Amino acid sequence: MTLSIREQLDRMRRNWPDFKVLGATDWYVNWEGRIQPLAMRYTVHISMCLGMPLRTAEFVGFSPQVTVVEPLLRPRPERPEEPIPHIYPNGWWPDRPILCLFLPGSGEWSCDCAVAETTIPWAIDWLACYEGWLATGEWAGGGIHPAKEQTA
Amino acid sequence: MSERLFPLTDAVDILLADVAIRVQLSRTDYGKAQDRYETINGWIEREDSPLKDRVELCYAQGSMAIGATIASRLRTDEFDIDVVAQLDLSPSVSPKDALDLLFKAIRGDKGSRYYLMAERRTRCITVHYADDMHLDVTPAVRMNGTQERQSWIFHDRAEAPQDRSYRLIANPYGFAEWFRQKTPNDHAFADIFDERAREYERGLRVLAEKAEIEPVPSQEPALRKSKAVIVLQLLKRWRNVQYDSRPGRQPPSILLAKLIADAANETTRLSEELLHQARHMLEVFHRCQRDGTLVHVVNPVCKDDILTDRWPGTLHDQKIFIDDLEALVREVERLVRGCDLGEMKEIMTRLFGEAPTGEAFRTFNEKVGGMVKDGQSRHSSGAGGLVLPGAASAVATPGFARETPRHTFYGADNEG
Repeated sequence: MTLSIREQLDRMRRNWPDFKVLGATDWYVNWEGRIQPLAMRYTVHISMCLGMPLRTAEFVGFSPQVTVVEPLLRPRPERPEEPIPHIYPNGWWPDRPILCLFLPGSGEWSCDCAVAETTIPWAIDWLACYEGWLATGEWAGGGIHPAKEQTA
Repeated sequence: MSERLFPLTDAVDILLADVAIRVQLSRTDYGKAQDRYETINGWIEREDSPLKDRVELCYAQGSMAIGATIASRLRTDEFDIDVVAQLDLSPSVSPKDALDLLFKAIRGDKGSRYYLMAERRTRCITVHYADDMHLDVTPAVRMNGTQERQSWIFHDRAEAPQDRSYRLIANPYGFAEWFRQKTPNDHAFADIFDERAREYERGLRVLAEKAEIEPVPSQEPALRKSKAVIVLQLLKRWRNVQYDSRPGRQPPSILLAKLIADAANETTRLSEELLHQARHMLEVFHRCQRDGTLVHVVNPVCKDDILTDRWPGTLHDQKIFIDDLEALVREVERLVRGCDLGEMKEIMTRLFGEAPTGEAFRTFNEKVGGMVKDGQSRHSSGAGGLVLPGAASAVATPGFARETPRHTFYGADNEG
């Protein structure tokens, strides 16, 4: 059963009380807060939208999207041309790519999942793997790149 | 209240410990060193030895005595093990005779086992082993009527007979006892560090396809280390990196050990201890430099045993080390303040060299990534931290840790 925005807000308050709600309606919410997967503290922005039928069209919802606000993600100094793994481009803020945290269609994420219990822990994993990649050049956390059709 | 209560739960502390583990004498080599100096002891006392029945005691000194032995070279695993051979010789024996006699006793006749391995040095006899371990055996003559094991040791340059020979008062045994008292280990920390060291060494043995039983008992005091001892290992490594391409002497390990013991274990985390010790050391040297004096440090249990007798020779030597310390403090401040693993690796490579740092980070990354890939990761709410591997295995799983639901990273290298 789809969790309502109110339920998402409740779970976030319980699990991540320091995350601030930047805006919320019955069908849309976004938060900003800080996490520290390893030694670096990051400010992350999370937004999600439930699908909603409007009078003239249907507003298509989207699964939670996480971007890193501060410090911005960076390439490896040794190989600045090498793209950061497991991200989607972000049209609104190109320097804040969207983290690819789960495999679409796999059931890892569905509307009955709580952002507080999935998206944020996954972002913690993502950032830890990103830091490991920065330090070693190896993305050790696995995953799939659709362009390559292979498991990393 | 901080959620991170355990002594090795933060990435920076784990990685510092892992670098220290990669440069230190392994349990197996520790056992080998012990065997070797016991064998040498027996050899010196053999039937046809000029020192038969003249060895009163043979004991570890320096790093080996305080459990802080690290590789003496940056690129190879060479270990120098320091041993004192307390000899029953006249207190008036000349430095040259004392050293020559021990050299003769160790070297033996042509064809004997140490003949080609022994080297006469200025204050000791070095035995070179094929695996790059060096045993430095220092002849000593007990000063009767003084504190336990206070002795004469000798200085004589065989290759420069015109130089003055002399004897020095030393009490390395007393120093090691004093050091251990000043740096008691915190059991939780010592357990975690020991477990990580064993895990690393198990990996090495698997790589080498060797599965021999560890010869060293798990409760061997020299392998149960306090934060201060690990910081000493790190600072010795840092010093080796700084002085690798510089001519002349470097600050002696015993001086670093004395300064560290003076201010030991006043912090809870390894990185904080490193910063605390670096600042303390800098303060000591700044004070001397401001006064225009050379740092002068004596063995706290034997005031005639001067630990700075060969370094620093000049204020310039001292200033070079102060510049190094200032840079060290800045770098460690950055580590303690918090930075990402990429920057952390750059800093630690500058401080401790490429090989141990690179390997520690690769292993850390594989473990963290493996945990995520296998759906085994856990996180803490509040701070939003990953519960790190090792932190959880060595101590009870922190109560605040929650399992992270399994997931698969996706996305296309910035290509949409």
